[in-house]
This record gives sequence, structure tokens and C-alpha cells, in this order.
Amino acid sequence: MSQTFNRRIPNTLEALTHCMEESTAFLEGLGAPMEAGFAVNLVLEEMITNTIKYGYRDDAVHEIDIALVLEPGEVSLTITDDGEPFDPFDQPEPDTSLPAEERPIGGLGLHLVKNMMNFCSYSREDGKNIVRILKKYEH
Amino acid sequence: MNIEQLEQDGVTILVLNGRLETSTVPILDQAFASAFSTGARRFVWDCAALSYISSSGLRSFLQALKQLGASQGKLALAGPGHMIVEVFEISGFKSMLTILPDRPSAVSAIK
Repeated sequence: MSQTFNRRIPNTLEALTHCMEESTAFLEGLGAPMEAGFAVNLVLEEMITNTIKYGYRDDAVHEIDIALVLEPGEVSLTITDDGEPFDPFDQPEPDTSLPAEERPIGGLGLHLVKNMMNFCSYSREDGKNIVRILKKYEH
Repeated sequence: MNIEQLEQDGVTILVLNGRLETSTVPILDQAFASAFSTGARRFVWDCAALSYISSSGLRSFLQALKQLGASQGKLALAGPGHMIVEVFEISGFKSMLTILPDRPSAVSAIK
């Protein structure tokens, strides 16, 4: 049986932090393994922080929709925003082989999501960015 | 995130407890900066109770590594869980970090 968690949040880091706490409580309440909670938090933090920081050309309040579905063995997330068109999965890869002194600070968030999740997709529909992500876990 | 600071054999141990994310990164940065400013150069960050890390958390590790690298300092990590290690691997951080299974072995690695 699947369980769902839906939230609409404004584009602020405070709202994102609160939503991450709520989604963690939702997953823990259902007895989901820590891997699922870790994955969901990583996706929410990396994707939505990026949108909040770089996704808008104005200072208006925007809405971001989050839909989470937990099923046995997998958790899926759909994040929808009305920011500038941006495909997070079609970006240049950071160089993860550089030594510490030469590493630029930043640019790793999307790389982590892309490589730690089982499925990632992006589409632009009706003026909105839609990101879909699936993570499988042992149960 | 809360951080406990201990001293042992001339090594400064920061025990990281909880989640290292955008909203809690300043807690670690501040704890490290304040120890560093009083002259501490050999560090163990005990990650056994670190339950989550994102790219903003990795940034704190990188900044500390750069600062210590420029001042003959050392940093070893103790006991990170497998999900934390997976983040280190995928980000390419694992090769830059000294990772030991527990606090005693991390302390003896750098004292």
C-alpha cells in the first residue's frame, strides 16, 4: 500500500527546513528505513535550495509543490516550481578528482542527487519545472 | 546538530551529533573556526552520530581541509555511517579525507 505526503511551500529556506523535518517525521512514523529518509532529505535540500537561490528573476513569493509517495521498497518525489526553465540533470559534471586545494566550493548538490538516486527526470510543462525522482531501498 | 568539543593527546575532537544541512552548517563552521583561532591544528571529527549530510555540509569539510592544509594541520574522521561514506565517495571527497573506524584510532592516526 502506498502512503503520500504533499506540501505546498513558499520559496524560503525556512519553509524548506520545516518541510524536511515534516517529511522525516512522516517517513519515521511509517517505519521507513533511514536510507529512505536520507534520500528524501537530500533531494529536497539540494533541488529546492537551488531553485530558491537561482530559480527566480523577481523577488515575489512563489509556490513550490512537493509530492512524496512511499511504497514498499521505493520512495518517489515530484517537485514542481514556476521558476525559470532549468534542467538540473543536464548540467556540466563537477570535477570530483581534484585535490582539496584546487576544489571549487560548491556545485556538488545536483551531482549527488543524480548519482545517488535510481531515476531522475525533468520536464517543463505549462510554464513549470517538474522534477521526478525515485529511490529504491532494501525493505 | 549539536557539537561537543574534547581535547585528548593534543588533538581537538569535535563530536558531531545530528544533521549537517544548510540550516545547521554554521554550527560546525563556528566550532571549527573558534578552535582553529585558539591554535588548534590537529582535529578529529567524530561522525559516528552524524545522521545526514548534504553538499552544504561537504563545504564545511572542504573549507576545514583547505585551512588545515595551508597551516600544517591535520583532520581525521571517526566512524561515519555508510550513507555518509556514500556521499563522500560520490562527491570525490573520500580520497581527500582520512577516515578511521572509531575515535581512538582516529586520534592515534594524527596525534
